[in-house]
Amino acid sequence: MSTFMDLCTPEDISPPATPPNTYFARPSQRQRSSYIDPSFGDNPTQLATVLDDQQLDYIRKVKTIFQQLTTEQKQFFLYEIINCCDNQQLTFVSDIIAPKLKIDFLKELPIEISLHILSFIEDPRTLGRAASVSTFWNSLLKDETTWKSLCLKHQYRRRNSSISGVALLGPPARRLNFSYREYFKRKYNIEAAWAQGGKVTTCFDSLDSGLVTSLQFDDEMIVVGCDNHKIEVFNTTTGNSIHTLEGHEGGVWALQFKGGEIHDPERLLVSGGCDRDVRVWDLNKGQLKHVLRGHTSTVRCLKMRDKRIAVTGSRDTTLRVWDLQHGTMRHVLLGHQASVRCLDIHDNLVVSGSYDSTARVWDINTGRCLHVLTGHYSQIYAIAFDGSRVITGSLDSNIRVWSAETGQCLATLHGHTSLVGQLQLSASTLVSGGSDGCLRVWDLDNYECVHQISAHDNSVTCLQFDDKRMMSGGNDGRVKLWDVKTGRLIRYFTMPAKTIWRLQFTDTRAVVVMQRRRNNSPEEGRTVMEIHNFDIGDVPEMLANNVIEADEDAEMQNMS
Amino acid sequence: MVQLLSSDNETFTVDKQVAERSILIKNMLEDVGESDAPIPLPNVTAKILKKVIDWCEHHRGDPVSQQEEINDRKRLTEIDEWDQKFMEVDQETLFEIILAANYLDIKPLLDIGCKTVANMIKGKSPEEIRRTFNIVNDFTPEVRQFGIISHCYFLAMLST
Amino acid sequence: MAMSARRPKRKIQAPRKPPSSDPQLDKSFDLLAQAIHEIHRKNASILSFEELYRNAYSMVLQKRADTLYNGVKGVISEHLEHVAETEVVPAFVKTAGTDARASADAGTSFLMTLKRVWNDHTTSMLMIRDILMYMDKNHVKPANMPLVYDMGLELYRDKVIRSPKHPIQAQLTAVLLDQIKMERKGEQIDRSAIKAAVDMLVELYDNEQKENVYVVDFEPQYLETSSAFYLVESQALLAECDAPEYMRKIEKRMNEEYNRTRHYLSPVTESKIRNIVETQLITNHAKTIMEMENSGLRPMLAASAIDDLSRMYKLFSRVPEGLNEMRAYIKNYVLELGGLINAKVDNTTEAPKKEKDGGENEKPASNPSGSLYTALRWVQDILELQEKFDKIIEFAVLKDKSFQTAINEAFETFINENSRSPEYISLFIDENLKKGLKGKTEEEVDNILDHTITLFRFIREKDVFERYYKQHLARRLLFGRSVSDDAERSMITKLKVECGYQFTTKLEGMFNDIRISADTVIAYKDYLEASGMEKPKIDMSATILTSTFWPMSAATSPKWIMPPDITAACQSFEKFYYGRHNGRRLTWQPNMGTADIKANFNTKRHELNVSTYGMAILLLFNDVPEGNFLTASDIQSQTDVNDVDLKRTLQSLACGKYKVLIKDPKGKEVDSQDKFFLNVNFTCPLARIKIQTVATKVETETERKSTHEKVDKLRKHQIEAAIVRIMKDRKTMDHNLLIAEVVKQLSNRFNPSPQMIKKRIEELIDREYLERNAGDR
Repeated sequence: MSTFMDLCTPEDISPPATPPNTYFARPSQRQRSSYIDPSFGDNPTQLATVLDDQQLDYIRKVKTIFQQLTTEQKQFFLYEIINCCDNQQLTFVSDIIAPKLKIDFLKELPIEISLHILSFIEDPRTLGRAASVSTFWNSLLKDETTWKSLCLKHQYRRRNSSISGVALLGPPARRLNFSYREYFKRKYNIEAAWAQGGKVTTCFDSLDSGLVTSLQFDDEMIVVGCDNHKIEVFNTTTGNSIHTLEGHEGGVWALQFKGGEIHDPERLLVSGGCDRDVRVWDLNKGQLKHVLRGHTSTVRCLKMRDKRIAVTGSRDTTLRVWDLQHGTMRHVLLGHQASVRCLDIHDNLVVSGSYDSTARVWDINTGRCLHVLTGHYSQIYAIAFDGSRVITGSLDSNIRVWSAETGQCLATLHGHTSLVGQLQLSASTLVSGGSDGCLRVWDLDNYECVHQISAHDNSVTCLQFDDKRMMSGGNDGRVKLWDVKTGRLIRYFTMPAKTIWRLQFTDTRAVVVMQRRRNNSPEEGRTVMEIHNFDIGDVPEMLANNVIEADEDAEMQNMS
Repeated sequence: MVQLLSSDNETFTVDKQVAERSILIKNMLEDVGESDAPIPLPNVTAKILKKVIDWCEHHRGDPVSQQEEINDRKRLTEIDEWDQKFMEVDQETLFEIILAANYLDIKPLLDIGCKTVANMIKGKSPEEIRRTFNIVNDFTPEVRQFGIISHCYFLAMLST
Repeated sequence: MAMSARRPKRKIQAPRKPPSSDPQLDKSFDLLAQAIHEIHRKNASILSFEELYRNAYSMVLQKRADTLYNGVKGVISEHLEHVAETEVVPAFVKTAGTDARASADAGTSFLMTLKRVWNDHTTSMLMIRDILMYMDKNHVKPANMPLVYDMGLELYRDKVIRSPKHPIQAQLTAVLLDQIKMERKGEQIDRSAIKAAVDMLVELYDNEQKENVYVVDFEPQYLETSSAFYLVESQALLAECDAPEYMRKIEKRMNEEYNRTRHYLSPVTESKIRNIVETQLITNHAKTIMEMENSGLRPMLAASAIDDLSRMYKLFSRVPEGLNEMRAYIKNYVLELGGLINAKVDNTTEAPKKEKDGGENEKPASNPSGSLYTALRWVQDILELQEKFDKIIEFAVLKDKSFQTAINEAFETFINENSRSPEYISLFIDENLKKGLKGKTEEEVDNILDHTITLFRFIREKDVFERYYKQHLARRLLFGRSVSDDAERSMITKLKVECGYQFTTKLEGMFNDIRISADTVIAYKDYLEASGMEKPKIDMSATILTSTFWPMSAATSPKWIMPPDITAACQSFEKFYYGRHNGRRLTWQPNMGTADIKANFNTKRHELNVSTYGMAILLLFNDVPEGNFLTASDIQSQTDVNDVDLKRTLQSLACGKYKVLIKDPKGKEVDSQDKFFLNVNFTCPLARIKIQTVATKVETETERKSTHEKVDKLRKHQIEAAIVRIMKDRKTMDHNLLIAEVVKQLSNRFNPSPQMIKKRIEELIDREYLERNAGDR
């Protein structure tokens, strides 16, 4: 038995007039709910004021008759009634009809078509908004296929960083409960955090006020080498100190560690410095393993080929190849006429740059010098090597590209106006930083300078880049974040300081070690380490604000 | 020439080449063989069928490409002018065209229809989307609140 | 306003509910199932494609795609099982092996049945696929499930071919193998039926093995039975065929198998079956074939059966080690033949020794021309052998380099086994540059010389050859016996190409001497005219030999007593010559000259051309009264000619064809007391007679020894020269390296042994040309 409600609820007004086709295409009858809804249906008492019983009865009959008419007859009937309406009623009718003619496409269409529609939307913001339209849309947007294709579109695949060449945050494709949506969201959040700033942990007094010479970190440990003869090891997540490695009797000028992966958890650290010794440490345990003696002057640079071989360069003009497992020396590489300032290793070759303005290519296994790269007319300060090309940066403000196989100089890159002290190489892209405060991005396929950036008001002291972004720190105390493709500045990375010692970043983290002024005595400096974390997830509390250690709040205000 | 019969019994005569833009019709002609009887399409009304045939006529010379290119920007956003005008119809018609294209297996037409809908979603706030498509916000109040925050957060993070 | 609560139930709408049993959708499926049945019954024409497509489409839209898919799968599955049982199994071959022809026919009909079933299936599947295309595209593909058509194939594979209930797979394989076996035996079979079956198996795929069913189920068995078949076959053939026949059969079989694979098996089998046939027929029996008596490789080579050899080469080259064996065999054969040729030589040089009287010195071979004959025969034999194998190499083994090398090695080995080979070859050339070339065209001459050069290459002791060649050339030049200057020069050119100019400078020098001598003689004659001096009684022309070029040396020129008339002529000439060339010394060589003597015999006057010694001897008889004789020792004391030459000359005058002297006692042997009379009654039709000294061209043992000594001495010098040259260049060098380097440098002349070199080094150290490094051994 129908009620007033039935009579007057909008749903009651005519099901589709098409014959009942059981095998038709349309999956469902569309919900003919109306967005705008006249209030009659709800309130029977209100209804009673408008129509009396007889009229209601009559209307009911008309309804029944109407429903039994054919399409043409119905159209005729409607035509007649509409012609009886005045403008106000027509407007009323129009307002009711309009929304009914709208269709919730995503809901009504077959699901494969709905997903197909979504595949045309590239912008995750739109998808985010769409997800809050209705519960159905929300569930649709949780569908993995959408996010999978989005991940592909945004190329959230494995990428390489210039520092370690280790692949960063690739999708762990084999995990069982892996969700593309979650993955995408995470990656997107990380990108956004990079752009806006992530969570920063600042460590103030863990390092003495001496200068920091070297820095390396991974997901668990941060290792900092200092001029005060100590090597400090911190926990990457908390910033707390884990060990302090003591033993060097002079400033630690170079260090590197390897290990710490799932299949290879032991970390081996090699360090060298003014006391001419090279020390090999078990980083996890914080214990000294070997002291390698041989150099007769400061060890200025060192690189590990792997956990078995390391090469050091020294002011005593020699390089030495060390066997790290046995703690013995394999070769002495003689040839340079002045201090060996920088070196780089790739497979079985090591390249060294010296103050004698030459670079040399050596074979690690035989200890023989394969080529002498002459061309610079002043001291070489920086070197980079990828196995086939050697890049050197010199006081003569030029950068030279050499072939490691033939020893020929392939190109000379002009542009810097003073000492080129920072070089980094990744595939065909070279980034150089000079004492002129400039950063230059070079394409090594055609030896052209792609971007020229006046980055700092003083020397560039450290830089790193990967295929998305570039970070540079200078003696002007600033750390800047750049888009490596466009050369544009993204943002200032941290509050200004006196000078930036070292920086390094990975996909999800960045560590900067700098010198800041003391509040009380601006001339004095204190060494500050900032750990930036960008993988901060979807937790509402952790919004884009720095988390500051409470007692330092005031200090922050006074920072210049 | 091929004859197509709509659900409301209207017959359309089209060139075979035009009709074969629909893979369904193409297969049907291959498997069943040619006959004089019109092909019944009880899923498609005359009005929609006419539109579809118009589209096929206009695009009869287009190459039929098979590949899917994921990163093709053109594929994503651009609709050519004629097609745009073609799709300037009420939602009901658009809906029916999409269904018909799906059923008849005319991929390019389906893509255009979907792109049109996608464009209707882009750039709108959730409320605007609801208004466009006449969707009821059926989140429970609590969910609504949290949902808004989490989605707003997402939005906030997403906007640069 | 909470709308959701108010939705009333609608009878008419088709609700979008989660998958559950919905009578309408079941109806949909039933329709489709029914349609599939009709398709299977080949009643497709009564169906409406569009309706079925639409039904399937709706089901997918209503999220019943899985049901649809599984349902269809079930229907087809059932149908296939039914087909297997009712159509395939009854067609099994029942009578196994009773009558070959009958069982073959039964096999064929089984295959035809299977083919029909398969074709029906694929045709239906195509139709079914088209009907279900929407599901395929939108549901199956994204879910990485097998597409409808592929699913059909898989079902066919699992329900029919690999049916767990009926041994269809086994039957099929058995029939196929049986048919092939019959064809191998020579029977006719229906190839198209087999091809259809194979095509079917190829199209079915085994997901686990990642190969098609043909490769997984059929091929291994096929290969196995083929292997067994050919094993037996090879034995049978070997028993009844000889080598050439066997090989022909092999070829035939190989072609047959190739055709078989191409016509009705899958190409992937081609290399595998070829391998099997090759292994069974060739590899396993290569040796047997080669070693077959009367028809194997040896007889083939002996007969130069090019066709057979060529076939063998082609067949053997298919298998990895086949050619190695063949090549080694041929090489051994060549060595054998070469050894035989060498043995002939040893026999003939042996034999004369037996004729020696006990205790006497060695005499020249009693059959001197026999020795020469041996030498020439030897070279000729080798040339013929070479020609034979050249042909074999060119036509039978297609100029295969490795074969060429092997045969060359064999030649080199046995040629050098005969220590007289340098001499023999030089003699051969000598022969050909003298008499043999008359009547031959220039081309033929060139040809022969070319062949000789190839032999020359094989000689290791080229310096020995040089020595002999010089000697023989000298004789030819001096006795005017070379037929054609051009031919001589051409030979020298060829030698120059082989050995470099140093080898031939001296030879060319010899030529030059002859030429210059001719000019000198003319100049002498003019001089005589001009000077108005008394002409000497003897008309003399001298040939002046530069001693370094020619094989004789001034120091060893034999001594003799010049007849007085001769002396005058010589002195006159000497005067002339010394006038022209200061600082030279002339030494007359009596053993190389000739003289024309006019002799008055009773009947006629003859002009005799004899050797210089002969002249000396005959002149003696001018002072001997008629009827008197001279003994050999008389002659010896008056001429002071050495024993050997004297005896030889006397023999030529008294025992040869033209007996100008009479010897008493008769007989070839000359003793010191033998008497020699001038043969006044000598007659001969010819006015001018040439009496040649019987010169053994082949050296005797002693001669050989002396030649070799000379060669050795020369070698020592050459080694030392090489050492000094090397050390000058390198300053210091390791002992072993030095030896190696010396060997390398001298290798184109001879092969010095390390001991020899070591000795030379010691000598040089003694003579302080070299010094050992302190601290070394």
